[in-house]
Amino acid sequence: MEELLKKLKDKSIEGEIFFRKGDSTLVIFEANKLKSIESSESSGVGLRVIIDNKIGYASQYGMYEPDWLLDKAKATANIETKMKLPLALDMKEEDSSEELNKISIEELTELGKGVIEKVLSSYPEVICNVEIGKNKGEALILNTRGVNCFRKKASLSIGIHVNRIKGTDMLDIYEETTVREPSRLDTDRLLSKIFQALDASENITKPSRTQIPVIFTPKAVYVLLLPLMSALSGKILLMGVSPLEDKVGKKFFDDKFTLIDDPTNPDGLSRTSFDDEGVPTKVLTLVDSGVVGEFYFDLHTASLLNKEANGHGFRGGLSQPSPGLTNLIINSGDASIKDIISSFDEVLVVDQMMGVGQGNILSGEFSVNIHLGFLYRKGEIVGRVKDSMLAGNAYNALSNIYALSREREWIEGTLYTPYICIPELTVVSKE
Amino acid sequence: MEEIKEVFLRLAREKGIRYGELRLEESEVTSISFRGKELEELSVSKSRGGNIRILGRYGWGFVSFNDISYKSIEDYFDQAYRASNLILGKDLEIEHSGPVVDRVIVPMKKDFRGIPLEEKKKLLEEYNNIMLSFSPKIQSTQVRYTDRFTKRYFINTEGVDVIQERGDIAGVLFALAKEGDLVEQYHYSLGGIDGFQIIEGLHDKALHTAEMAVRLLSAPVVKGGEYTVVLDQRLAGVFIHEAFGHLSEADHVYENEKLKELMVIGKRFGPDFLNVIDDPTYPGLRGSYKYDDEGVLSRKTYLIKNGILSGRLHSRETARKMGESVTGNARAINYRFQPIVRMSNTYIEPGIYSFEDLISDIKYGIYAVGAYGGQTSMEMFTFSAQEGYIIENGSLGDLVRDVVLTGNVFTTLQNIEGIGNDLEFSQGGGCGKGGQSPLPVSTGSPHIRIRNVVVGGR
Repeated sequence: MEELLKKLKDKSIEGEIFFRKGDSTLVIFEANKLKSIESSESSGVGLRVIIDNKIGYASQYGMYEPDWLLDKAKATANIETKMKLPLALDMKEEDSSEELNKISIEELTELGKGVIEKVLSSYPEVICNVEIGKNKGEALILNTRGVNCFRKKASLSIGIHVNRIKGTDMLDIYEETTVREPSRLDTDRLLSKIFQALDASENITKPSRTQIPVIFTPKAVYVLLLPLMSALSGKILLMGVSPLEDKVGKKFFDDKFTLIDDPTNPDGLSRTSFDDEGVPTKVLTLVDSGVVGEFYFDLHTASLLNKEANGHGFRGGLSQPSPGLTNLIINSGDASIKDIISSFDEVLVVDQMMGVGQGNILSGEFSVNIHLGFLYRKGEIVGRVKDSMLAGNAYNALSNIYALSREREWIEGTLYTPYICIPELTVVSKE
Repeated sequence: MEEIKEVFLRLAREKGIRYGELRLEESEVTSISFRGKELEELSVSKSRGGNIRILGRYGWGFVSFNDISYKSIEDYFDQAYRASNLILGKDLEIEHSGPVVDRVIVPMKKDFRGIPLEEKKKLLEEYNNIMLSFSPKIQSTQVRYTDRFTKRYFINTEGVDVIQERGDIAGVLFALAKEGDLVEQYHYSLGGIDGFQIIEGLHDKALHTAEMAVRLLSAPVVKGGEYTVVLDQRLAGVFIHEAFGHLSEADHVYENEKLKELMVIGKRFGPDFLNVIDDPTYPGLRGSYKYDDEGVLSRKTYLIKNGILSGRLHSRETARKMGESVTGNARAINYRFQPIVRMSNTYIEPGIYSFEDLISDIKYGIYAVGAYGGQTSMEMFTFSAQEGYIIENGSLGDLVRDVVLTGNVFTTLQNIEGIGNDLEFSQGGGCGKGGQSPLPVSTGSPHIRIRNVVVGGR
């Protein structure tokens, strides 16, 4: 990479090199048995130049041709910007555990077998699929103004899918967890959720009315968060279509609701002290007790809005940086989930949905199929609700929260959230 | 490439493997996008990578990589070979296809590789300006364009040696309208494999996109309930993809005895006049290809014929396990993934009715138009429209928004009441499955009418 950096400096071109490398292993169990073992190595490089306040970009996977990159980056330099690449930042971050590095394919295989044995010993009639992945990744950011940042990460993930068919009734339950330290991989927690759902789904039921209190499990919370995550992005602000633009500093959400993006959280998978542009990351208070706080930016977007960049420029693969989030944290409440459920004569607990994000996300409207949801009456589980649609508006819902649970869970290693109870939403079921 | 193939075949012989594949892929991509009046992206990228997949006695070893050289191929072969031998269990057999040597080049009427960046940008800017200047209520826009030229080499130990080259374009026009706190959006997406001309002349589409975004500002949210619905071609295509297409993918079925019983060939799923087809040989569509990613020659498959389940989509492995013929539906989005059973061009055959026939005797229903997408869990599925119109006493009435529909495979297909005579394909969509997204597919259908469909709403 030094060679390319030298070429840029020799030609007095302001530029940035992003190098990415990945190494992963995936063990796949299908229909209760080990089916395949995959490994993957990848590496690629992206070059961004700024010539006469215009950005150009070129990237390569699987080859490294400095002249081609430079030619193409120059040829594409058309995007008007006010951004300047950040100044000298020299950081090395190695966030990968020794213990994880040592885990062998054989150990991953044994882990999967153990999970399937536990499932089948209690529920011999089900079909179980398990995927266990070990991922290692490296990123290097170099620029002509002295940034030299290196990040190394590793994680371990397990996804469990259980399928049960009775007559024409199909039940599919998914649980996953992703951790940095193998010792924190708690498969028993996932299994106990799966077993509870299997038991509760023996009976199919319907709510007694269409307007009903609804509890979103941590897994289901994204349906409420997606509109906010979108509305607080610098890109959406730049387009002038963020419903939260004129709400900054005002109370818009329920005062029980606080949402932060925390790149420093030691348990979050996205922990990092600099973003993919070499800018130091900052903890962002997105919503503070209902009051709308900060938006998140990459360098280019921030420059167009005359805002300070806040270390939230991230890349998918080798794409150009865009505003992105790290570890989203929602505050917990006081009551236990059990007590919240018991406080209603009738309440729907939604765990899995279909159709999330398919629609006008910005408006906050959602209308989703309840793929896995359970009805409780006076604290007792009555059965599974299916062939039903749940609809509402995420902004309205988060402006009127009945309760947040004391318990919180990590979802995909990047969202730490309690159960969220909304006093009333609309459920339409098949007659 | 020839030398690398030689190394692979030599190693395969030396180790005496039962079956193995080598795939190498080169691609070049140009991306251009506007966001509001700003040019947001103008970039080019190149990629080269490959994979080796080896069948052990009981399972698959798979390795993907970017580093393609003599030396590295030996290492990767060894990794895949060792992985395949780590798997113990039940014998795994696959269907075999004969040797074939072929080179397939999908012709482009107007090859996008010969068109200067500046010209591509200028055309997109025209569409963007049409949308931006349509109305003061148009707050912002997005125009996104990607062209990708891919060359795929595939060889296996059965003597398949195939090179396939094609160019693929995907794009979307997107308008956002704002009034007070309300933001509404509309989009037009398209794609194709036969050249740059498919994105030319979209000025009317840009105008319509902006117009609809503004009109949706004054449309109420649909009221939830059960309705008789008429779906336009785009939404009906997504409907059949979700409602039945995925359930036709044999990898969901082949290891699941109970699902096999539910999905037995000869079982009735819909009315006599319902015919559903998956056809990768249909010329010129995004889901079209000659050989799948296991080197199997593609073919047309009737999934439903006269309302009866009559076929399903297979890989070499699922076909063998179920005692059915291969169909050439094992696909991977790129070299980083193993091929899995996927759809290609999936469509409902046209029937006899005009659109007017379909709506004429509906007392109160919904005409649902355009598609945001859909999702399925096999039994239940959802699909969301871009816009809806109330049908009252046989005529179209007010515009409504946020129309999301849900159904159940065992009842909804039976509830199809009529199929139009106006088949159209849409090619803007991508399909996601098993972490592989978006796979270029197309969906097609005439207008169709279905009774008792649950529509979500407040």
